[in-house]
Amino acid sequence: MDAASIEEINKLRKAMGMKPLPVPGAPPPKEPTPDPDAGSTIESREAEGFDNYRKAQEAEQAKRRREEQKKAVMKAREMAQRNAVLEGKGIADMVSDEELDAKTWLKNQKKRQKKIDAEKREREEKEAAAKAKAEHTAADLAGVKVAHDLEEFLGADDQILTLKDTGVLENEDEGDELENLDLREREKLTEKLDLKKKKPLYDPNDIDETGERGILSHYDEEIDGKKKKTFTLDTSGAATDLADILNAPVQKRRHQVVDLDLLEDAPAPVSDYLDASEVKVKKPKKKKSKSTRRKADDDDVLFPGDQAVAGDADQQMEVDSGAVTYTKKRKVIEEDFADDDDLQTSLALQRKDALKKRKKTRPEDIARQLREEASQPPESEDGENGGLVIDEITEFVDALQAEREEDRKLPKPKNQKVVTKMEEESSDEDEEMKDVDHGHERGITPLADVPVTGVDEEKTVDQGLGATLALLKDRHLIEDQKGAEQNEKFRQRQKFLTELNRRMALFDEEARLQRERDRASGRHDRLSIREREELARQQNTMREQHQSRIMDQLFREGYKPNVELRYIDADGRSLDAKEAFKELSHQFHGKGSGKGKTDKRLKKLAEEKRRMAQSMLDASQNVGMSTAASHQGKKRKEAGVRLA
Amino acid sequence: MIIVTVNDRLGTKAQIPALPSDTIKQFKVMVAMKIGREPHEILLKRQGERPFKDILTLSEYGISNGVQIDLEVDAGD
Repeated sequence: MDAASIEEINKLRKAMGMKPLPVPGAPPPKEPTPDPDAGSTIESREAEGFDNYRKAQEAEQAKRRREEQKKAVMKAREMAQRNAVLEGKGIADMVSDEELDAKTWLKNQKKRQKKIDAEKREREEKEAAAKAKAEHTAADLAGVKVAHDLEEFLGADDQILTLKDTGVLENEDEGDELENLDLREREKLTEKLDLKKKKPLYDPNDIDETGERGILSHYDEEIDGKKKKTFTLDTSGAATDLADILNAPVQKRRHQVVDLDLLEDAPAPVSDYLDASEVKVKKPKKKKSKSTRRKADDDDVLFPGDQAVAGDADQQMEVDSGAVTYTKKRKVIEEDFADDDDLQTSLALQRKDALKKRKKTRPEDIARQLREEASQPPESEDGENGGLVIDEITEFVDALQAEREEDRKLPKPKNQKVVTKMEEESSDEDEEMKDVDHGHERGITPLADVPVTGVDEEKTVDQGLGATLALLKDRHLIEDQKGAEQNEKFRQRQKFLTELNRRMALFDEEARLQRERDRASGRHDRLSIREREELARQQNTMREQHQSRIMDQLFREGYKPNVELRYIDADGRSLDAKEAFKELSHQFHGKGSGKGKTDKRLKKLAEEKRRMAQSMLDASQNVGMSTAASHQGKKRKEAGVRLA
Repeated sequence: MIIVTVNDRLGTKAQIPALPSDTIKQFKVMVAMKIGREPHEILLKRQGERPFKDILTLSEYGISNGVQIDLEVDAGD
């Protein structure tokens, strides 16, 4: 291997990032190799030792130098301190400054004496105050609480009160309390006894003196804690609120004030049962007049001015005997509300009584009133004093009344006519029907102004028979039937019937002609009546035979009966064969299908009804598709959504 | 440095210097330079043994100075 080729390879190796091969001619690459054997010989070790010694020496020297420096710093500081103390004035300097002679000293002596006296006085005062404090009087007890009810001290003789036993910090803000141990014991005992008594929670007789009674007041103790009866002492040692207690007015019990007059005025409570005194046996004779009278009463109560007019009307009605029919009608109406009949009647009675009580106007009174009015001068007529005032309301009521009268009159002529003529009533009815028809037509006026949208418009019934048919077909409410076949059948039948009629007529005509001929020929003249009859019978039988033969033939060739069994259930739906069978079966066996089946059937019916009522264009059910379109799609098994 | 002889058994031998720590892949590159064939087409093996894997080194295959190995064309299968 020559060096050139190796170098060439090295280039490649260098490019690939590999270690180059050693070239034989080139010197080996230098590498800094550490001294492999340091301290391996005695000499080298000695040299190391010397080095070490020198290092130690140096360290020691450095230490010493540092300590020296420290000492120097300390010394300097001490010196500075010493100098600082020595600065400032000495006592001698101060003395030397003040010029102190006997005169000034004497002057100052007075001041000094004064000062000393003041101090002395102050000290004495303080001592006196301390002494005063040490003495305990009634004034010190001012504002101290006593934890007992004041009443307990009222009757009794001297009592010894002690400070209540509590923690030091317990009642810091409330202050000290005094109590009597004996009293305290007694209170505890009574409390225990009360608890043992098992009192009821609510005592109606135990009404608070003040009249204030909280809701569920027996829980107040548990919620707010026990209410302590305390009082405070004042400077004289007496209780502060003693005066208050003595001066307080005796509070009376509050009574609930009930005004009995009001109760008198109020209507008596309605009894469910009729009072025995109220029950009256009605006389049938008076019934008529009573009913009219009642009407009059109602009217005059409401509109006292119209009494005369109303009475007139009533009289008229009596003449017409229309009142009887009216009452009858009313009875029927009342029977409709039979469920609370008693209640209604009792209420009505009560109402009537109230109205009567409020204003009783009898015809005599009114007559008297009228007379008075007539006697009075007309200018005094203000309308205030029960005169006839015609305003809007009365006019309205008059109109109402007039109408009612007409109503009452109306049945009368009809009744009469019923007896005499039947046709007129029927004609009347016809008119009514017409009216109804008119109304009907008005009800289904065509919707001309329906907004035209892009959607094809739904056909409506008013557009004609064709449109109706189309509508029904669209909704699948009627099935396509074999129209042609049915038509053919119908025509056949019609033809048959006409033929039959024609033949019958022909036959009759022939018979008549023959009879005529016989009569004309005078054949019967020779015969006796019996013979004549015999002959006629013979001829009749012959004719009948002939006729029946012809008829038979006709029926044989022309008559095709159209048998159609139709079943209609209770709701008016036409049933198909299966349903009809079920229905019949149920009827026969006397029991229907079970709950599940019935429910299913009802659901189906409801669905059908809904479908029939649904609009063709209603998109709510099948989104985006009209019913017809969706049906079509289902038939063709296509899926799709109508976008517009 | 070792010198490896590569014999293609068709009458041609090539001598290639390398280090024992070279991988077979690197060695193949040098062989490729020598014989003029793509490195991935070269398959090296001892006679009658399985072909060398790329990631192993020459020393791991026990190739020392003057060893001869066979060269075949690697079809990539």
